[in-house]
Amino acid sequence: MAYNTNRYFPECVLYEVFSWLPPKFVGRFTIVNKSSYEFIKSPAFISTHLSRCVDDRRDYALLMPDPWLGRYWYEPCKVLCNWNVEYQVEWPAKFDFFSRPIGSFNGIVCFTNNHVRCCGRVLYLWNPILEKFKCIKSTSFNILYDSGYRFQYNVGFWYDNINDDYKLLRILQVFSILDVKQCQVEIFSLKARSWKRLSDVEVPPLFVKSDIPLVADGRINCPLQDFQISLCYRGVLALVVVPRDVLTDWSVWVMTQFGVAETWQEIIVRTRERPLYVKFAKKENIIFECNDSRLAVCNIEKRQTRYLEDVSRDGLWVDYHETISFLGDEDEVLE
Amino acid sequence: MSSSTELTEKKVFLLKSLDGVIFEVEESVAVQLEVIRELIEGDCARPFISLYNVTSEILALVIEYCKHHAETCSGGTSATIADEDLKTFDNEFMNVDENILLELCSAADYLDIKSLFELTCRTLASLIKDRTIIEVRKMFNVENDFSVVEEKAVRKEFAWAFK
Repeated sequence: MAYNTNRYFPECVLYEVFSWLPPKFVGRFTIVNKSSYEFIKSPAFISTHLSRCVDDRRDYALLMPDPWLGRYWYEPCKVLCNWNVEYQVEWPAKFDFFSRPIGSFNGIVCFTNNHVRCCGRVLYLWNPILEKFKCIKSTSFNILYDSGYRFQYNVGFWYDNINDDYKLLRILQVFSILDVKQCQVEIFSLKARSWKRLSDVEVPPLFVKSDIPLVADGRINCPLQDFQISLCYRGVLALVVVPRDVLTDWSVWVMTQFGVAETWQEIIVRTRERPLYVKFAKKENIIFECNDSRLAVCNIEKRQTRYLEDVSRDGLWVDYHETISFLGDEDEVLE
Repeated sequence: MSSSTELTEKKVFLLKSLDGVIFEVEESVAVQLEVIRELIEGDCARPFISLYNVTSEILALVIEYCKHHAETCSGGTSATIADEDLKTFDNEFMNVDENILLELCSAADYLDIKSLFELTCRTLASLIKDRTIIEVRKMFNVENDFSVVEEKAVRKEFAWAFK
């Protein structure tokens, strides 16, 4: 096609056009000219692009190989769109082999190593399409425990949209044979690149008041090991509480206003199935894996559950969508 | 001092295109062109506004677009019906030759019409997905200012996109 060679397009035109492209094309068009290369890497462009890909209403998921299902670590991850495989992503060799996904925000998948003894100790934030990652090995915990004690990490990941920051919550509990011995809670801010320890927690009442009112004092009265932090429901902080007592309904707690402890709301889910592994999907759906390893979708607002009969669960999965988050960043290991 | 007759009668403005054609537009249409709104507010819109960057062919299209949007938004229809109507209109409106689309985009930028600018850019984005880099450069009339070595370095930096 012959184009008008007198026409001049200011940079803002290319900026706007590129902001509507899928990540792969954005990356490719960095070689159009120097100014495109510069603006594509700018935080302003990355966030404009992000606001546009969030509009995509399809359900995406990333399926990671699960060693417990006989899958090998070197198998690629699969990207599913509406539960059909779209393409595959190679698992970077520098990552731990046995990994468990925690959650995903803005196209960034958070996962941890899955070794029994250190699960939750090392955390990764990964943008699979860009092959960019940040590895977090640091901690603020100072619990000393004897080798005879059992310990457990709980980790949550979310995006704090008020401060434009990615955050992690980690809870470490040390158990003696009979009881929980010690418990510490810390919050990581990617902007600050460090963990901040919350005032020490008494157990079992769940969380104490802190300057970051994550969970209201005494509002959730269940022992720690019974909930899964699976943080995000319609873009707000949420967690799933599954009482050990099988006769009690499980519920989803949603913090409707970020950082305001008084806005925690409980949504009780009545299903026969107990969730083993819960993830939030788009809109008002959550997806969970039942004891019999079938997948089910529960509409929280309508409180209806249906099984995903034709979806074979052959890996560890996490909700996901393609973005250019971390595009301007270098790979990092925070120790 | 403005008399009462002036208040009730519809204000019209005259827009002059690059090739000298004069278009008469109502205020509701004219204010959608951010550039012109500023001129109106500054009372610099008389006797007519010269638009040096837009040809009559493109200006006619732009006015058609603004007219439709002004009418749909001011009409008594409910918001959802108006939304649907605008979507259909926009889709049909974008069904034009690539060169016209580029002209429209450039005009929307120059005249500062946000919705039309976004619409044309979105359409262009879906067009360039299957174009080569060289074609995209030609389309937007930009020069490759990378040296061979520099381009190689960028390709390496964004290796994931060129797989």
